[in-house]
Amino acid sequence: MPNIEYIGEHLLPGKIGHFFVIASFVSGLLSALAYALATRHRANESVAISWKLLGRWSFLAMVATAFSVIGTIFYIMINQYYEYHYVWSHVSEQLPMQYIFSAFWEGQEGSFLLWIFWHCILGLFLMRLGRTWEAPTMAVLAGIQVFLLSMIIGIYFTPDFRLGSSPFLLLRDVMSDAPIFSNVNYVTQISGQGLNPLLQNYWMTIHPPTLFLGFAACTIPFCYAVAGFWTKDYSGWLKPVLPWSLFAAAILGTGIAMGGAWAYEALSFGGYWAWDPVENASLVPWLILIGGIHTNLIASRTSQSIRGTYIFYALSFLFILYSTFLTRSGILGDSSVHAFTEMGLEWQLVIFMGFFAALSIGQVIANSKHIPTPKTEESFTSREFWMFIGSLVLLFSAGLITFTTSIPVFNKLFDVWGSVVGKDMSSWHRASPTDAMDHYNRFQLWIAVFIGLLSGLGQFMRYKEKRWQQYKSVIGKHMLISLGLAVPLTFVTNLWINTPAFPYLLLLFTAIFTVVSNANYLISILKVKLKSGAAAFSHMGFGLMIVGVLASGINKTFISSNPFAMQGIFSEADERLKRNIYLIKGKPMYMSGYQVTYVSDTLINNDRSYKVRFAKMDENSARAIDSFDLEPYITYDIGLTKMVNPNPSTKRYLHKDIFSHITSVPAEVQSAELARDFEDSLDYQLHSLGPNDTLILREGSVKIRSINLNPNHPMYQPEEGDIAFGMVLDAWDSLGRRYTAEPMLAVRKGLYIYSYQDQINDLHLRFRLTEEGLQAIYPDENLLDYQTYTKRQGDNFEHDGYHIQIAGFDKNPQHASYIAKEGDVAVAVVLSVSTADGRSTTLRPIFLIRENRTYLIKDFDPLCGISAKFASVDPKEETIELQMASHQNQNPMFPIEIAEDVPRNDFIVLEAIEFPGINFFWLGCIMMMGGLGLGAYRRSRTI
Amino acid sequence: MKGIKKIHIVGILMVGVAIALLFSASKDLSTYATFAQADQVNRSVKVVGVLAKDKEMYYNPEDDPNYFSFFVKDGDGEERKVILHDAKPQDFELSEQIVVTGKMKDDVFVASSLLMKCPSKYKDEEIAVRKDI
Repeated sequence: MPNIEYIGEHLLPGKIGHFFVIASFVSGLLSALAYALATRHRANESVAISWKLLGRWSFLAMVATAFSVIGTIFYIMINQYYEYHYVWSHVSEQLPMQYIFSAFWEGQEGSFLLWIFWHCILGLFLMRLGRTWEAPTMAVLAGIQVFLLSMIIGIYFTPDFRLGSSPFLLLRDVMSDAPIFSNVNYVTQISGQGLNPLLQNYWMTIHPPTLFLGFAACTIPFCYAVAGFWTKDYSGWLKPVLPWSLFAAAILGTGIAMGGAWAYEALSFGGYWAWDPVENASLVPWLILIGGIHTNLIASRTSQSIRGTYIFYALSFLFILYSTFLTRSGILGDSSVHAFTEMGLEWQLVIFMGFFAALSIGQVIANSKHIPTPKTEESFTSREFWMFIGSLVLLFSAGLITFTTSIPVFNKLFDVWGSVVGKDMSSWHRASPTDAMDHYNRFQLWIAVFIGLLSGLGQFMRYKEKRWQQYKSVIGKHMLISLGLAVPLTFVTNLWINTPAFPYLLLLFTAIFTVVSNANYLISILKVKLKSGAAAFSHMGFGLMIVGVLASGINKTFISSNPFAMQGIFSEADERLKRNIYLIKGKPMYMSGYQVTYVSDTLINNDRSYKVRFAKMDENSARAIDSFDLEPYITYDIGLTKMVNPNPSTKRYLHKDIFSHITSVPAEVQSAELARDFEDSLDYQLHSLGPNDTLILREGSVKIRSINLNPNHPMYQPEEGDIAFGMVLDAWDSLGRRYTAEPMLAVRKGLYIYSYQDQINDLHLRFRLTEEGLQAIYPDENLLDYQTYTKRQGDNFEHDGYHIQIAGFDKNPQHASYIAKEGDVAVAVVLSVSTADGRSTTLRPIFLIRENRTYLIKDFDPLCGISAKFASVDPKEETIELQMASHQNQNPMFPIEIAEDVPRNDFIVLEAIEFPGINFFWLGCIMMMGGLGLGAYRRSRTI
Repeated sequence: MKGIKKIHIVGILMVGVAIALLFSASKDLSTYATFAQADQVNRSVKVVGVLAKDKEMYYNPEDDPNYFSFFVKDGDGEERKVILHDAKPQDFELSEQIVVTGKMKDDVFVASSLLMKCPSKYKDEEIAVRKDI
């Protein structure tokens, strides 16, 4: 690339921004080192305090510079400096300002910055609240922050080897081959690509910040764990870490649930959870964190499981990094709906993970001799024993999910090994299970059974149980109460859910058991002191969530199947394959107890919404007992040239949802390009029709009813000077039902020809007019032989076989070629014309006086083949002079192009799913996260 | 039994269970195959390929809204007809890569799910659309 002096670039913000990134990285590093030295010299208070102060100030500098980086990016985004690659990729003129945040974290660099941002915020709190734990925890946090900042630092060692990817790269450096950069003034010619329209919704505004706050918060328990082992204060960290862990679990859980809600509400996945690798990647750290919270509770009460707590928290953090690796390395390409491009920084993420994995393993090994363990081991009758088992079960769950999610990673590792030993390892490659949902559900079902039982029973057990013999009867009594309520409740619920197999019934029972048992605990042991009920709430939430999963998962039914229409079409395919229904506008269809009608569609801005009426039919009386409208819609791009995505619409009842979305629309509705392709693919045949001809086609017969010189068409916007005509066509099917179509043609400025087709869907016919039609319709004026008649109102006369009557006068004439002006004197004479063969028409030629000049505006009827002029008025004699001319050909032929077997264009293909009990799922999620949040709040008060 | 704690026994048990579970889970894993290999086995496989754009793509919802057929060219360059019992995914023509899961039945590959990768003209990253049955 030759050196060119470009005009109009704003290079300063990029330089400042990049400087801030480097400054942030350096001050983060300084903060980590200073805090680490403060920790090392903790015995010597005066030395420690000065290191600590340096740590603090450099952390604050890191925060200030990181915020400046973010501010700079927003500055270049808001000003739309497209010379920056990041701005060009995520912003466009059309992007509404409310999505500027979404555009910011749409890209990899922006989402790393979001994560960095939350680390800054959490770091400020940790600095303020950490007290004696400030130095070691902040050292770890700052260290992690340094690794994160290195992901966006963008330092090139060689052209191919770099550290991090800078958000301030210039477009011309990224795409240096693009020809536009030979133009010195390229800046004025480029525009951004903008935010992916799929992401232009409020979920994209709230989901990523929540999820990344969750990710960032998962770091803090790890910081405490490392700090505890580092300072050899093995039990001191267990209490202050708990609120952080509970907070992290509440936020990360909320973030995951929001992802599910997004998928369910706004995307067309038809569910809230699909065990997609990207979903799993954020679930796994959460599961491990929950396990860690339980071992943490054990450890802070009994001093058992201190090492376990360390390991759980470290794994939770490491799996956050692993999830980052999975979703950002492009490795999931073949197995996930969410796909991400490679950032080219995989090795950097591997080093990131490797560093902290090595640190954790090293710390555990180095300290294993010193970790205090109580002499007495936990007994089977103690709460800590069963809680620990529960944590292990969660770890199992995480392990199994990770195993299947990591298949692409295993394949990659086989390849790496293959390249080392020089062997082709592709025969070792495996793919994700063919039915992923079934695979995960089958295993996780048992995990959930265990968790249900443990959380129902464990609540009543006590730490370090010493008096089991006395307590046995108390716990026995409560278990009996819980069972006594859970069994009949399960029975009743099962009448509704209809579990198909024993494992599901067992899961339902354990879920209900944990709800009942925790409610019992809340009432009888906690005496309804709601603020101490955090754990009970969370466990009840878990149980309710499982009930919701079972109800909506097992009984999820595609109501959009029509057994009658489908019979015999494929012999082998079973019911579940028929998930889409074909709906014709205005024609009710029956499906699974509903009468469904596609009523109408409306285009508002960029959305075309379809009103679909659902009427629930009574099985016996076949009358509608309930009726509601759903409005699924499709979104177009800015220019309305192409459909971007379909959006669902859901009817909510307390006990069920009815979810609908459009799976297919006619080609013409999808995009301008497809509409053209479709039109080109039709086999139009040219026909010539006379006024009395009836054309017999495969699915009906067609006749011209009239020629309309004032045509209307939804797509046609008349302009002055247009010559336009429409042809009104009647068509009859074999049963004699009549249909009408009116294709039209317009010539604008004598040059441009616009043909607007019309279609009769029931007969699969499409009509198109050609410009040759103009000649048949507009006779050549020079060839007409006008004869003059002097007549009075009411007169009848014959002209060339036509019978003409002067029916009257019209002082406010309407005419295709007459636009009224002020001061006009215009009169039309109304002529009733009939032919010998029984056709008739009305002509309204106009006599016009405008600015002292007279004009004759002729009228004619192409179908009858006659033209008339209103030549003059004689007021004294009360006569008028008419000029009549019959067209040369008494029986003209009108050309028209007709395509047969044309697919309909008035349909939608709809998928409708009933999700019973889905509200239990959402309620359960809210209770679980609420319980965790309450726990975090309570624990933070008692540190 | 000195030195062995209950928790150790539980631990050993759990490791055993974990191995058994992983072993059982690994049986669910499928393999990537070509159409020729899919012919040989009577189980579900995944075929990675590209859409044969010169061949017929058929979806006529008026006849059947749950029938979509197209041709896929696999890694060996072999083209086969694929049937998906679902609506035609949006922007299917634009797909760069297709992963179909399913079985051969006579000469036709009957897909139970389809994953496609589309280049998006809006961004340099990719959007994927998935259809599962």
